[in-house]
Amino acid sequence: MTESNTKAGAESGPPILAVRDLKKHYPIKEGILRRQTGTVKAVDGVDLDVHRGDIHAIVGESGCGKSTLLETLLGLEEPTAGTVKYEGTDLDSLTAREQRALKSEVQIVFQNPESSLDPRDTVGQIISEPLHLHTDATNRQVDARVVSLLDDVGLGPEYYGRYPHELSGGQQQRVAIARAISLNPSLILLDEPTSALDVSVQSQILKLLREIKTEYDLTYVMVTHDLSVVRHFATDVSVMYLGNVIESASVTDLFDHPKHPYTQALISAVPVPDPHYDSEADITLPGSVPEPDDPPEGCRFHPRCPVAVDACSEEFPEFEEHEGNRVRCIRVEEAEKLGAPGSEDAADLKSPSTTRPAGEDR
Amino acid sequence: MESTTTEIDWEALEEEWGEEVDEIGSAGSRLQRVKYFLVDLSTHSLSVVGAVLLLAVVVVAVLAPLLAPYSPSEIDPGAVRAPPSAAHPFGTDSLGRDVFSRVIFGSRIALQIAVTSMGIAFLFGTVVGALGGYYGENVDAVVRTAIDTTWAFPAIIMGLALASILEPNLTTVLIAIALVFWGVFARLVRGEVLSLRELDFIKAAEAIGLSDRKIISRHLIPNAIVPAFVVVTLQMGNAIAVAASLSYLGLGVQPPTPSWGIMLSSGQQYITSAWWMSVFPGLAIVVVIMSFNFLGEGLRDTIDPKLEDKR
Amino acid sequence: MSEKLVEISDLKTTFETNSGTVEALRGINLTIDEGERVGLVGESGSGKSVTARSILQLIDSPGEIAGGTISFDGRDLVGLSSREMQRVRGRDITMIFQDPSMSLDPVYSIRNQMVEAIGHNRNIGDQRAEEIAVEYLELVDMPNPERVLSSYPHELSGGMKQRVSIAMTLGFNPDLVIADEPTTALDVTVQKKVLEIFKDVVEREDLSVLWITHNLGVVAEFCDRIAVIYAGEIVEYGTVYDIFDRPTHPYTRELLRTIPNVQRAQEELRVIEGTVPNMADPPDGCTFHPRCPDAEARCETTRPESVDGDHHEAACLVHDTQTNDRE
Repeated sequence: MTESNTKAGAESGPPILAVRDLKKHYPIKEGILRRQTGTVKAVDGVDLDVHRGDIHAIVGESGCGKSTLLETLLGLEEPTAGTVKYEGTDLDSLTAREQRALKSEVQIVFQNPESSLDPRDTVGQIISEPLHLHTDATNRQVDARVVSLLDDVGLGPEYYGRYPHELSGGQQQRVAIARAISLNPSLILLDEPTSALDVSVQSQILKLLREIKTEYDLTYVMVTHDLSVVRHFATDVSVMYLGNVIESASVTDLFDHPKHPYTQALISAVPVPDPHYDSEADITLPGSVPEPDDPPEGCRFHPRCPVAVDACSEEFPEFEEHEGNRVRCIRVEEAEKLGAPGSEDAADLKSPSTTRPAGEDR
Repeated sequence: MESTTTEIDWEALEEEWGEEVDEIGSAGSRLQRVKYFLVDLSTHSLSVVGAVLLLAVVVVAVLAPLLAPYSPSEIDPGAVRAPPSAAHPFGTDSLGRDVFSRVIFGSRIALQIAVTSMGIAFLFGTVVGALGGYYGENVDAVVRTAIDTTWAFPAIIMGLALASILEPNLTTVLIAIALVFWGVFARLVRGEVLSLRELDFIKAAEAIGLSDRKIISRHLIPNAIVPAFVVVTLQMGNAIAVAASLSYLGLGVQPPTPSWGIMLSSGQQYITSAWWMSVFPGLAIVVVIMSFNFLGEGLRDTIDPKLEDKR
Repeated sequence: MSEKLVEISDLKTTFETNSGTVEALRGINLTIDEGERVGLVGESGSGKSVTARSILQLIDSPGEIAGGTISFDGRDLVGLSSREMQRVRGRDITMIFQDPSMSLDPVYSIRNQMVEAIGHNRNIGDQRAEEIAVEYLELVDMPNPERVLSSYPHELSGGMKQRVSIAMTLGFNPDLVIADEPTTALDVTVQKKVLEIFKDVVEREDLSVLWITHNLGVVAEFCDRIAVIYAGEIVEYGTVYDIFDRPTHPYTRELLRTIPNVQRAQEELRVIEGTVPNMADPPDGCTFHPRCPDAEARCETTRPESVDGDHHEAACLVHDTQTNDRE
């Protein structure tokens, strides 16, 4: 198995998080007898290497399995198959007690700060809960820790007694971040940490996450659909489509020369805050992401792919290296032409390929 | 795997931030919150009416021996079915007992039934509903079946069945009513827990390693219980009505206990000649049920906008 | 210069709350020309949705329009009876919501809903209405309009539902479409598609659009003019090029520097410190001064003059578009 990126892999030994062939399938049960009628392959064979100090972004659209992946990494969901190794230790090999100890090493910040805080608890109670649970410190010591954490996330001690509904979205997210770092974890999972926030608040929270990362020596795994934030914030990116990672690279490689046609489409779909930007060369994809209970044969993306050929519907290609990007695509060379603005090829290729099944939503 | 949590230097923290900690004091305490809630509730005029009436009923029940001019079982053979007068403001019944005094003492029975039976139903229903909602799958299937079973029987029929199997007395009535109503709370709390379960703060609690028991008791029940409080208030009125109906049918509390239901039923045959025997206990039932409903609606209106704010 | 379709002047909308009167709109001016696409950009609580609802006269108690005029096609909408306003809504002005389920009823088929709504708003028979429905479904690039008409909302994906609600809304043949973040809930690749379609249709039909959003990227791609709204006031108005190339108001400038751009690698993003003001107790003077990097003493006491919503202008005491534009 090759490293997911060259930069961090060389220097820091084993990855802090190594995921191999991770699968999470959900049975679909119907009728009174609750017979299984199908399987939702939410995560269908994901490999991931995250090194200490990385900000590894997992991007994709709704239904690509990124949230399920995160919940599986956090241990909220049992994987159907595959392994998750944390600092070289297999999660499955741990006793319940060791797993609980691990839980203080991996924390999470959710998308919607309001629903991630118990509305009936004060800020102080929320942040102190993990401290009371995992340490033997006195109440006063715990409170001192809470106040210092509040200070770290830019909130004064007067917030200790407030309730979540008295705070703005940005302040709530700061509380959630304070809770996540309370036990000095080494890895924090960020589930769309800024997408419920206003633009001016988004930049505040991103800045805070950067500062906290340095101060607490953290590694981030961030799930998001917002590629603008990824480009600005992350160090490494994995692009998911229908339960699989289809491209993985350092942030520079991925945005400077995206290889997979889906990655290209995803990047060019993001509205650019610049009226001079020429969107003529952008790729507009037909249809929407298929349901994960009935993924297409072969390459999961081929029905919407502008450069797909017949072979794409037969086999899902394995990863191959292309200039530092690891890509699951056999049409990388053809796809590269998509990104060339103004080229004639690009214009021709904008129409969907003929392999698209009839009746598909377009 | 070594744990980094030990790295927290508690003494240094306490040293550095102790002053701020001491200043926090009791700001935002539960007490403060209750105060705000009561202020909100007091702007709801109907609920104030309900609360005042209920308070009056409670005072009457507590001070019954002082307020009642006669003992509830004291017989005045000279005044059988006497109309309301200065001596007997609500008149007397067939045995010459003072209806006013009996209505006053009846409030004790009514409140006892309402509070005890609803208390049992509430506790049992909340715990069972929370377990079903949290664990889902098989546990939930059992809970759902149990709830559906109690819902299949109308309250009165259920009470009748139980009261006829068991000896008809106050305890039977309490158990019967609790059995009828626990399903209401179980269903409500189960639904709340099911939707709360999906919220991220429950996942966050799991992520920090909180045990199931603590998640249920610390986070799920306190959040699910608020709407149940509203329902408990609304249902207390119903409980009194069911108890009165059972008494009326002779299957509840037995004479000579001054239950409003019994008084109502025994006065029924004299409704044309001695209307006061049934009208006054009937009014008492109506007033208590109404005040519970007013208060319950006030609670609901006070709580609901807040829930909406949270979207 | 083309004809003015909408002229909002000194619009004030207030809400009565427990903590006093909240001025959600503090006197805004805005014009929308025929066939023009105006973006109203702001963060949550800035008053952008209140503006939309004020135009449609959908402000419910405890809110009310406390002053100003909304001239639409020469007629003041403020003060129209609810009956007259009902005739304006749907026929002359329509709205597309962020969540398409707001405009689609789950229990009726798409045919039912489209035919009824189009027939009612255009005052035409069912058969003609259905023809129009098909026409507009084709216009929004639905491959099989007949099949879409026979389906129920839950059978369609989010992107398709939003396209149906766009087709339905445009099928009313309105003069003005108010779009309240209609693509925000969609996946980016779907958003891209819906945006392109919407832009095509609007251009072809020469419609005026008021596009309400917080997304500056969408605005840059879609709109002709932009009004930046902050704390119930339009702080800057101008063409997209004015706003993106020559932003004048410090809020606009800072806002543009806080948003990441997917097309280029950037240094550390700028951060606007602080939070939006509490509208029940807005700061004196310029509402942005507590967060403004260029604030001077007079900003704390003097309220800048409102922009007239007609040419590039910023409501700022310190910066002037005149000098800025010349640079």
